[in-house]
Amino acid sequence: KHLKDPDHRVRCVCLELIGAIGSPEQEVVDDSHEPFIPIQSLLAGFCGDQDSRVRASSFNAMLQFHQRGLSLRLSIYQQACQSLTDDYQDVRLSAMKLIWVLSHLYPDSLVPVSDSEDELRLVDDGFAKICNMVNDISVQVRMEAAVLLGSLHQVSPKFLEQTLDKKLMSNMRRKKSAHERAREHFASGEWATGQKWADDAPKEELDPDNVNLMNIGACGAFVHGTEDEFLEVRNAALDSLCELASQSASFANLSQDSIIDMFNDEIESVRLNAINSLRKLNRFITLREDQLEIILGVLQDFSTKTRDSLRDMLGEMKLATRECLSKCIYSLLDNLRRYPQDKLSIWKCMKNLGSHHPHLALPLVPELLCLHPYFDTPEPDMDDAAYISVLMMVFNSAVECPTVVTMFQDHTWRHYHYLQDSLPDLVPKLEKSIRVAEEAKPEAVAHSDVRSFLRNLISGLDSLPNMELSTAQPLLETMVRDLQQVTELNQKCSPSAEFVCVYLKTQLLLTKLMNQQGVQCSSSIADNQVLSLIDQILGLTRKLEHQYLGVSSVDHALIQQTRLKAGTLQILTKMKSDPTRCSQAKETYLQQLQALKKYLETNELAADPCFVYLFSVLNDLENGKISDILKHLQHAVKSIAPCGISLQNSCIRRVTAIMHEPTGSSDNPIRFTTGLTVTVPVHATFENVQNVDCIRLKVHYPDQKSYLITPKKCHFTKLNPLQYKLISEVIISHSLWSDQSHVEISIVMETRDGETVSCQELCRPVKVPVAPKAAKR
Amino acid sequence: MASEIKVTPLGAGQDVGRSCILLTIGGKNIMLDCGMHMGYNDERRFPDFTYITDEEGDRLTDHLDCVIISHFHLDHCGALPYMSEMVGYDGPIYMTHPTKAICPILLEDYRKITVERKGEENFFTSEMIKNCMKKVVVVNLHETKQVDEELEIKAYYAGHVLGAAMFHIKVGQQSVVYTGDYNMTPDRHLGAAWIDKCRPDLLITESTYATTIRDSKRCRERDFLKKVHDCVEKGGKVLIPVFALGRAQELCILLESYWDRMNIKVPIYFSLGLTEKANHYYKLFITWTSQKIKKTFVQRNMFEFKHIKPFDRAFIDNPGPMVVFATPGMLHAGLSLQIFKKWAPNELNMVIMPGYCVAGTVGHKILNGARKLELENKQILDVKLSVQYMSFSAHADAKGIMQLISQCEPRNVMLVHGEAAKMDFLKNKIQQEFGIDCYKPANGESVTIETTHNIHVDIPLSLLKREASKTGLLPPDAKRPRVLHGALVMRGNRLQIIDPSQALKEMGVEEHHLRFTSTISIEEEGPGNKVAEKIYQLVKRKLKDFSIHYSSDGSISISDSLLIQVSGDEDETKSVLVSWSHQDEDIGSFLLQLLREDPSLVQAV
Repeated sequence: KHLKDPDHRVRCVCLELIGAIGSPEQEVVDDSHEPFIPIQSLLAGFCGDQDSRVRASSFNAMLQFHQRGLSLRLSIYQQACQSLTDDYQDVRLSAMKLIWVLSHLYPDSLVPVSDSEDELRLVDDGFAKICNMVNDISVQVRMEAAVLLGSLHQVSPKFLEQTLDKKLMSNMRRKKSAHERAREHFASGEWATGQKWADDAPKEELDPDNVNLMNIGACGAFVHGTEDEFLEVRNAALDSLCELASQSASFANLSQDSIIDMFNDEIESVRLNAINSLRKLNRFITLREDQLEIILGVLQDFSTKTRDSLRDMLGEMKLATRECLSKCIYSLLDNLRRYPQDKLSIWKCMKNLGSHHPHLALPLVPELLCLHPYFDTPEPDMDDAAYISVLMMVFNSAVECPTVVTMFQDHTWRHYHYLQDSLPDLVPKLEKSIRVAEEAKPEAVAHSDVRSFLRNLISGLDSLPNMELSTAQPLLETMVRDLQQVTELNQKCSPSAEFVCVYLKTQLLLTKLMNQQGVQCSSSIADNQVLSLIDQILGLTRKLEHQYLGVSSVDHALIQQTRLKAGTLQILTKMKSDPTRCSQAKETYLQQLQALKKYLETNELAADPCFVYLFSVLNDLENGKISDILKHLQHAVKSIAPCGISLQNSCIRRVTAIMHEPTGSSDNPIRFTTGLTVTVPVHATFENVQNVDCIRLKVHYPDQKSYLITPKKCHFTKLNPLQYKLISEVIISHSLWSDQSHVEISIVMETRDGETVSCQELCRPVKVPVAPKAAKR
Repeated sequence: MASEIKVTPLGAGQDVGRSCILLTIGGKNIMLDCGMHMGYNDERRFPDFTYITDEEGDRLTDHLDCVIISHFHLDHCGALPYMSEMVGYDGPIYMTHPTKAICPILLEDYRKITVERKGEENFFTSEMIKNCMKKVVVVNLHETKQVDEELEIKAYYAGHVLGAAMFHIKVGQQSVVYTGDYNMTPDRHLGAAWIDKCRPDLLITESTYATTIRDSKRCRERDFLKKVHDCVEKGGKVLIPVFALGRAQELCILLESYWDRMNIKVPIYFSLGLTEKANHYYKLFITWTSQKIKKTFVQRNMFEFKHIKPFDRAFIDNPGPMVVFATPGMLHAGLSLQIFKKWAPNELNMVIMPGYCVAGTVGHKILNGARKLELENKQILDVKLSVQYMSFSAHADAKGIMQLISQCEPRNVMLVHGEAAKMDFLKNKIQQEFGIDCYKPANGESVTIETTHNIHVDIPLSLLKREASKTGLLPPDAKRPRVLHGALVMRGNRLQIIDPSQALKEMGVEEHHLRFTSTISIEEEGPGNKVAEKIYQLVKRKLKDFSIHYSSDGSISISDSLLIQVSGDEDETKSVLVSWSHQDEDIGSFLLQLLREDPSLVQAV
């Protein structure tokens, strides 16, 4: 610790070391001074070192104390304040951080103000000091200052309000800023009739002595921060502004103008940040008409992401007046016209608007539904996305406001029922509809019905292993049929039912196989038949394994065993027909067998009798002769029997994908020049997908060739933990065809067990008509 | 020792336009900017160079060491060919790359208008502009350029227009910062002015907006974009009269990125000629622009406009919406007026005036609400289109000026390039807030600023390190003065501090040591070494910072050069010998005092 080397590097490292291992109250022996001085004073001494790097690292050492949970003493505050005007940015940066730390530690202790006898709370003083640093020369310091401001929640409102304050003047006359003018307009109830020439004409004369040109204290910190040249600073200032505003309603109200201003920033990430910040403040603020005008302008933005987040935000905002709401609705409809692909998000936004502002919506309903007091209006087209959007708003507002319901016409009701079926999550249940559709109501009952049915069915399976194969087969057949119907009946239980259904199908196939095995005919045709059945089983088990989430380990073991049973049969058949060429297959089979054994052991599950036997002769299988192996396998096969499933987790979820685009309904073929490429945009949503890395887009050409395309990671947007949205494109190209034909695009999931890679379709392939043209010479 | 900096504005003193400031610093004469005045058409439009030259026919070269041009606006460089070619100056002219590129275009344009349109004679020629440009030396940002052995200049970014720079001028110890025109708030295509804490003796700053604090730029931009968008949405045509350089590019970038963002397909046209050339230079000097443009450059050059196409006169009658940038900016002549006449009768159309208009121009009339205009041939033009005014000016406002002052921490401030009345306000403010002197000389009025002058002394590093290592053992304390032993040597006109022994060697002088010895008698019983012990304790208590050594023969040595010796046997009086060398006079006399004053103190121990 006594290394007070002339070299600055040595001193820096020493201070770092002290920061890492010392503590501020610890005392240090110094040979020349009075024997003991606390380390903090020692460090404070180094804040006046001649080398800037040493100064910075002495502040950093103190910060490190704080990070290690040791408390710092207040005495350092004045010194840190002085260092804010240091010539070197590193020193300013760390001194500022120290002030921030101290403001957190001792928010309420009083510090004297220079030039006067007043005293200020330390947090206020620190806040003002950091605010000042928003005008620093260095970008890093400005950015850090903007970041630090956000977390000083205890600062008093007086100081907070100053941060957005900027007095304008023009030739020594006080001038109102655009924000203030807008606010006044709103307060006086007079609406802006477009920009007037010189509407910002300066008002009263200012007394030169009262004008404060320097940014003393917190004045205008955020005004400057949000106008900074560098987007890093702007973003940080915006974050802090939002953070502070979310602590205080009054500040939120003041800051909304500044945040909305940022909606027009030149950098997209800042715009997005502004949108999200405003969204976080939705508790406190109400949007005025003039502000809304700015916000709605962003709806025309070309970036999908910006529009999406803006709509999300709009849905959560409070609007001040009826005009606001109608403006909102019309710009959303305009948005729909401009960007039809935003349909879903617009509907959702409409829904939220409706449910949040039922009373503002009420007077708008006649206009929106095109109602006329005397005449019947023509029934609108049900396929019109704009009309649906309007209905979304109206239906959702009707939940809170029954008066709206009375205005519905017959066709409105018809459309309501239709929409409730097709878009259940966007259309709420209305009182009247429940009465009308009384008989269709017991859906909940049906739900529990299905569940108990599943239970009964599964318990019926308990006896399956002991049954004769011949009796098991018809039983399984009926069960599979029943389950298929159940799947169609009820949506909520369908994944579980489907899961069981698929599982039983495998068992059914297995039984069929065993029946044939019993016949013991070993012609090559029969072998082929057996092998194709086995392939089916393998395909189904793979589906079971990868497409369903929430499968219990017991069930999982059953699936694995089923697969391996099929595998056993497969290898047996192969070995019988051609015993010499199976060494590779044997290897993989044995590996699978060992993997299964390990899996069962780690999960402490019992094995099927067939595998109990196989595990016991594992050594023989590895090293024995082919004839021995055959013997063992044949013995094992005899004990294969179908078995039931426990289905411990009753809400199994299925991996699904919905492709929104291409729709497949288009008759116009995509034309492109032979040999060149054409892009097909793909929009899809995924549910219950754990890892988007395994999602592929599959393009299947009419010549039976298919290609897998891996979408870029950045094309996925996460909606929920297991929900994703994909906006990507597929590039297709082909040589000349005589006529137009279809290219099938589908979404598949790539799965990997061991070395084999397989794909499973997640949605029906969509046919896209394509017509390559001959290249013009 | 004090020296002085002398400043005389030939133009721009309490005035806007004709910027030309003479600076005398450390015996060097420098001309800052050399502009013309827009308001005059006689000889007053140029600075009065006879102030510099003593007699007719005298050349400026003998009187000036260099000329510095801050940016390419004519009120800062318009008189350059006149000065260099017609008055006569062959020295270096310093400017930045973009300024050098664009300046001749503007000068040529200015020359054309004056000579060909107004038919003036005795004006500078194209040849002169070329010759003048040959004398230009380019400066890069933050590059220190050595004009001669003593004078060095350094350019800082100033915003305002492409290539605008502030200059830090330094001769020996004295330094001056000249800002030219600058902008502290970034705009769409240029960043904010930036300077480091160079602590000049004098800051010469512009003060166009001395009494104005402006609202955020974003509101204005938004208004502008919204108006344009609404108009084209309705199928109207938008005319934006601009001057070729500066604001025009900002508005182009603004519209271009908005078009991109909103996916608008309406065509934007830019009138041919000057502007095209200018845009070319904007493309080249991309490093001088703002963060956004620099970043986008990785993908494409922002000045390679996607939506903005060159305008052709035939397009005037095209149907459908469009946006047209046309020169000149005040609608007084040329293409912009022609287009205006065509479009004025349609109320769907709009004209946006992005800047100030001189009284008497069509622009000024319509801004003041004239709805009927009388044209040259007695025709009456109905003005039905909407007229909008937008101010996009790139000067620092009062807050910005204060911010710059606090950034570079000058010792004196001088205001130029502004109106006298407005300067007063800012001057008072600067004096109040910073407590520094502020000047606002009128044209031709000289201001002399006294500067304190530090003496420059060389010191070898080895000596400095050795001395630093002696005191470096203590924790650093900025307030404590440090003592350094060395010999001050004057060699030629340079001062040096060197190691004393080396100095002696060089002089050929033998080293002498001066020692003071004093003996005090103390009446004290007991053996000699006991008394010595007592003195040792006392000394140790009094002098904590020194290394004190007590040797067995009864002598005490303090930091190697002080010696205290006690002699005398068991008798009553002891004689104490104190000896110190000349360097330790302070402690020596202190010790002696201590022992002599209070022998009883020794007893008390």
